This record gives sequence, C-alpha cells and structure tokens, in this order.
Amino acid sequence: MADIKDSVGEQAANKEHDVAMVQAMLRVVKDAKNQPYLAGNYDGSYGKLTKAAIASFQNDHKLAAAKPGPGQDLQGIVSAGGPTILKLDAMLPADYKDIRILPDTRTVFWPGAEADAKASAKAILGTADMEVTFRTAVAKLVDTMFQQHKIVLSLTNTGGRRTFQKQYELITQPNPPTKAGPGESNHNFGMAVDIGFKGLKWMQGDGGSKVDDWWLNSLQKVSANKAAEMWAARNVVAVTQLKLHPSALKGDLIHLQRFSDNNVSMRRSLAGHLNNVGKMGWKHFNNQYQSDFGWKDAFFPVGTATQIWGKTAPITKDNLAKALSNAKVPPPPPPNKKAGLQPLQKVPPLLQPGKAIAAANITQKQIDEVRSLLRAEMNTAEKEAFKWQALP
Amino acid sequence: MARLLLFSLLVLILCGCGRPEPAVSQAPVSAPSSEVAGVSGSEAPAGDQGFPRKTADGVLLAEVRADSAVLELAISNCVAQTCPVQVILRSNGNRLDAVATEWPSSGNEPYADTVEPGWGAGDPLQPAAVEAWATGEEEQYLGISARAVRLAPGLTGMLVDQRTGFEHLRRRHDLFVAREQKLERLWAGSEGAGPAWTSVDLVKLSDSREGLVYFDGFRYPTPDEPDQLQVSLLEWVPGSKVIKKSDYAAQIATLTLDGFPSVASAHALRAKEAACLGLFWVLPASQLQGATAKFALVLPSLSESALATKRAEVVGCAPGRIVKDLRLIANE
Repeated sequence: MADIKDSVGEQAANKEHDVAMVQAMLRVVKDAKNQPYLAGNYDGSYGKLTKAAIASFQNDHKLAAAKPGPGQDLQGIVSAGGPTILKLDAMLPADYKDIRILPDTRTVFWPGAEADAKASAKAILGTADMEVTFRTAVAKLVDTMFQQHKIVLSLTNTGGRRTFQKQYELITQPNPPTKAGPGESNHNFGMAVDIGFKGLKWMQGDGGSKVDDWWLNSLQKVSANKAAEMWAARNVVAVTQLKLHPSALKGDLIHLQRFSDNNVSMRRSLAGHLNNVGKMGWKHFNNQYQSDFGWKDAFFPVGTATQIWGKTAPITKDNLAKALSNAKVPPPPPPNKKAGLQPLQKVPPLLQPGKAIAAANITQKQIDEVRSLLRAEMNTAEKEAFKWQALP
Repeated sequence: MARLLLFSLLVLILCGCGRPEPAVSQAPVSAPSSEVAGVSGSEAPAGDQGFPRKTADGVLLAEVRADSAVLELAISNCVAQTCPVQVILRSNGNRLDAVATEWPSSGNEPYADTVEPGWGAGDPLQPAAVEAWATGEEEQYLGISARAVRLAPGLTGMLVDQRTGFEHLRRRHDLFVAREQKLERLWAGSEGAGPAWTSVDLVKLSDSREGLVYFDGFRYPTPDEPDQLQVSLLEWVPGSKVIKKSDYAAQIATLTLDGFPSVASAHALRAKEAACLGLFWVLPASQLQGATAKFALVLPSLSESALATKRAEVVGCAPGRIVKDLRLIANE
C-alpha cells in the first residue's frame, strides 16, 4: 500500500518524501464534487494548499479531531499508519494502488516488474566482455534496487563495454560527445557502465504519469533537483552499499565504474597497460603517446590514441631513421635453445632495426609498417582489457 | 662589470622577467585583433593587451565593457587545486563585486581551446566566432569562453560558456549583468544526465538589442528514439528585471533530409554517414513545417549561408535523398 514513514501536517515531521506521498494521494483522490483534494501540483513542500487539502479530506471522512478518539488522527495531522493515510490509500484509484516513493526524494513512482529486474541482472551477469567481479556487483545493484525499492535498473544500449573501434568512431564524428580516444575510455575495459532508469513510471505534479528513459530525461526537464534525488537514491545502493564508484564528472549521473576516478589519468593508464601487455615501451607525455617501437632505444612521439588507432600516427622520417639506426637488436638465439633475450617482436621485412639508415631513405611504406605495429599494440591492449589498471 | 652582469642575470632569473608568462606556456594565444576576447562584436575593446594575462587576482581571460563598468572573466588564484572562475565587476579599476561560475578550474595556466561545432557556443552547424581557453587535461579539462551581449541600450551582459569532461562532455552557460554596482546571474542553462547538448548563439533583435538563442537537445543513442531539440529565445524585457524565454523554433531554418519511414532508418543513415551527417538531428516530422515522412534528419542553423554550403556536401553524401529547406515548428 501507499504509505508514509513519518507524520505530515501542522507541526509534524514533514519529511519531503512523506509530504510528497500525501500530496500525491490527495492529488488523485477526489471529493464529492469529483475534484482532487489538492488543488496544486504535489512537490514535497508542506504549505497552505496541503494543509487545506488534509483538513478537507479529514473533515469529509471524519478522520480527525482536536482530541482524537479511536480511529482518528489529530486534526491536521496525517500520521504514519494512521486512519487518514489508510483512508487515502483505500480511496486511491485502482491504477495508483502501488505508488511508492524513495527516502529523501520527492517523486512518486510505480513499481517496476520483477521479471524485468531479473532479466536485466541476468543480462549483465551474462556480459562476458565485462570484468567478472565488476559485472557481478552491477547485477547485484539491479537486484538490490528492486528488492529495496521495486525499481528496475538496466544498462543503456551503449552503456556496457565499448570497443576501441566504437570509441574511435565516437571521437571522430562531428560534435564528438567525448574527448577520450580508443583505449582512453573507462568503458573500453569492461570496468564501467551507464546504468539507468529506463521504463520508470513516475507521477507528474498533476497526478498524470510519465514513463522515462535511462537518463530520467523527462523528470530532468521538470526538475533537475528531483532527477538528482533519484540518482542519489541509486547511489545509496551502488556507492554506499556496493562500493561502486560514480564518475568524477559532475552531472555524469548515469555512470558507475569499478575504480575511483580520483587522480587517475586514463592516458597514462593506457600507456601503462600497453607496457604490460604489448611488446613496445610506451609513455604518455605532453599530450601525446611516445613509443620505443620495441627497439629499446629512445622514445619517439606517436600522437594521440585516435591517431594510433586510425593508423595516422605522426611518425617522421627523421625519427624513424633514428629509431632504426639506433635500435638495440638482440643476437639470434642459439639453435634449439631459448635465449633469455628474445627479439621484442617479429620485425617486418621492410624494417631493418640496428642498421644505419638516413632519413631521406625512409619510405612511406616503412612508416605505414610502423603505424601498423603501433595499431597492433592497441589491438593487444584491447584483447587484454581485464589486465588494465588505473594509474595516476 | 662581470659582477654587474651576473647580478642582472640573477635578478632576471629570480623575477622571471624575460621569459614567457607561464599562463600561456602550453600554447601561444594570439591577442584578439580588434575586439575584446570573446566579445561578439558590438563592444569596444576595454584594453589593448591580449588575453589571457596575469593580474593580481589571477589570470584575466576576457573583458566586456558594460556601460560605465567593466565585466572581467578571470581564473582566480588557486586554493588547494581549485581555482574559481569568476566574473568580476570593476568600475574605475575598483573591484565592486565578483561571482564564481558553477565550475571552477583545476589550474590557472590556460591554453587556447578551439570552439568547434558542438562546443556549446554557436548553433548546431556554425560555432560562434569567439576565443576560448582551457585548463586541465582529461577529467580536469575545462573550456571557458565569454561573449558580450547587448541586452538593451545601457545594459550589456557577459555570457560565459563552459565545457568540461573527458569521457563525456558537458556544457553550461551563465549570463551575468551588472546592476546597481552588483553582479547578477540573470540566466543559466545546464545539461542533465546522458547525451545532452546545449549551446547558445546570439541574435540581433530590434532596437539594437541582442538575444540569446538557446539550443537544448538530447541525442538518443538508441535507434528506437528520436532526438529531442528545443530552441528558445532569451531576451531582456525592458522595464522588468528578468529575462523572458520564448519559443524560437519557428524562426530557425534547417537543412532537412526528409523521407524516413522510421526513426531507426534515420538513425542508421546518420551513423553510416557520420562524417557528413553527424551534426544532424533525428526529429519527428511533427516538428517540421512541410515534412512528408514520419521522421527526418534535420540540421538547424541561424546561418543560411552555412546551411547552403552544407547542402552541397549533403547532396553528395546522401544521393537520392530528398533535401529540403524546411523550418522547425514550435517546440513540443
């Protein structure tokens, strides 16, 4: 049944969620003239209209007195579990019988379907491209939100693991929604999700209903604060109870991830990950990546993640000539014996590391070959996504 | 003599004289040619020095001469890695008032930022011709720009646009005016969760006034939902103390690809031709005057010349499509 946790009325506790619930009920329960008791919109704020609506409802149904007898509330007070709230609940239109509200929010909503919550949790658990402890925690979030609040959460269609290629497409489109290149998004490693309220049916101020999207866009249009309250309620479970982390970006409310954003550099983390799983040495410095091309000599600038993925890394003939000329090439291992020093990577025939070459003799094909090697490193980084670690 | 030279050199090193200002160390910022940095064009320069430049209060990014006073946009000195971005009201050099924007900076060494389509200053096709600066990298990134808005004769405001984020980008806009030696935030626009997009362009109104055209959109990543786009005019109401917001959609020209039977088909073409059609919005025909199919790809702009240029490109990337010059109708 629709209920309140604490009293509402003159000199009462008047917690916003309780006031909003009583107001919402008074907005849809009608008097003898078929008019709602509450003339204005419900908003969680106790005032003159609410006071009048409570008085009118209690008078009509003889639910209160200055000295309340059995089955009566104190005049002007709607007590938790008391006769006024019970009568309001009994008089709710059939479609409104199950309305609910979350603590510290002002938006009344209808419960979601258990089957939808189970399907959402199952889908998340079955998402093999997300890191397993993380996806287990996210599925637990869905379960807990439903058990505690009857709210169904689900991943947006782009809210799970995002491939490096998809990230590339996002950042290279006109009006890109992100500045994160391939391998620089926390969605690229299966350790972040966008999880929202799609399908949540909430009560509008006038008693009507609205079915919202993942981002609570409709509620946001009505009141940014009310939408923020719903996200905060989700985060009580997600962050406080399940220790997931919200985005550090203010307003990116839908986002949750396995690690804290605080003092994390996604670019230095990608460089570190490439060092761990790839064959080359990597750094991120001065707004671009640097690589030693696997030849263990100096590091050379190779541009942005987007350029590396797109095979347009800005490699100069001069730098490639230096890299090839100074490359430290290990001697070939003795036959049938695994040497401690292995070639760092299979060198394409076009490239001859360790042999002096002038910049003028570097060909475009050689540059393209190195670009392909860099891209191959990114492919490895994607394949070994779960080894990614957040670095400062 | 050698001692004197050595001493002079030491003084130069200690005072930092003779080396570039750290405020512009990441990328040189050229001084604005004939206008105040970020000012839309109608105001006279408040100073002849370029921006950004260091002051006692921090780093000055822009100035707007607001009648008898000056509105400054500055990154104030940092406290614990938080550097408030402030609008400061000055008269005759005296600081009268200051208001911080919602989003502070993480540092006070701004570098040049580029206002591209989507940055949040301008219309969906044509970015505003303003200078912008940024501080920080990745999630600390904050882009900042300012424009003068001649709201009414004798009332010039400063519009501050900000953009922040790395994984997702978010924008907000604040309009400040000076009245009775105090700063007032006359209006603010911001974005909610998800792929929201807002932007402000300026438009000339009667009586030499300027208004703000506010684009407030949401680009659904789901192929089963059309985008949402509302266009409003914010203008000063003479004699009142408020900004009036009215529907401006019907004033906006568009380039429209008509003829999509479903929302998914419109999304699909936009995704396939992202380089050419990425700026378009998937809108229901009910938002367009004269659309014949259920959905359309729509690119609104205040610049008819920019639309004409884009038209030629679109004809090439979407051959066989019906390209129309339709107008939006009232916001839903």
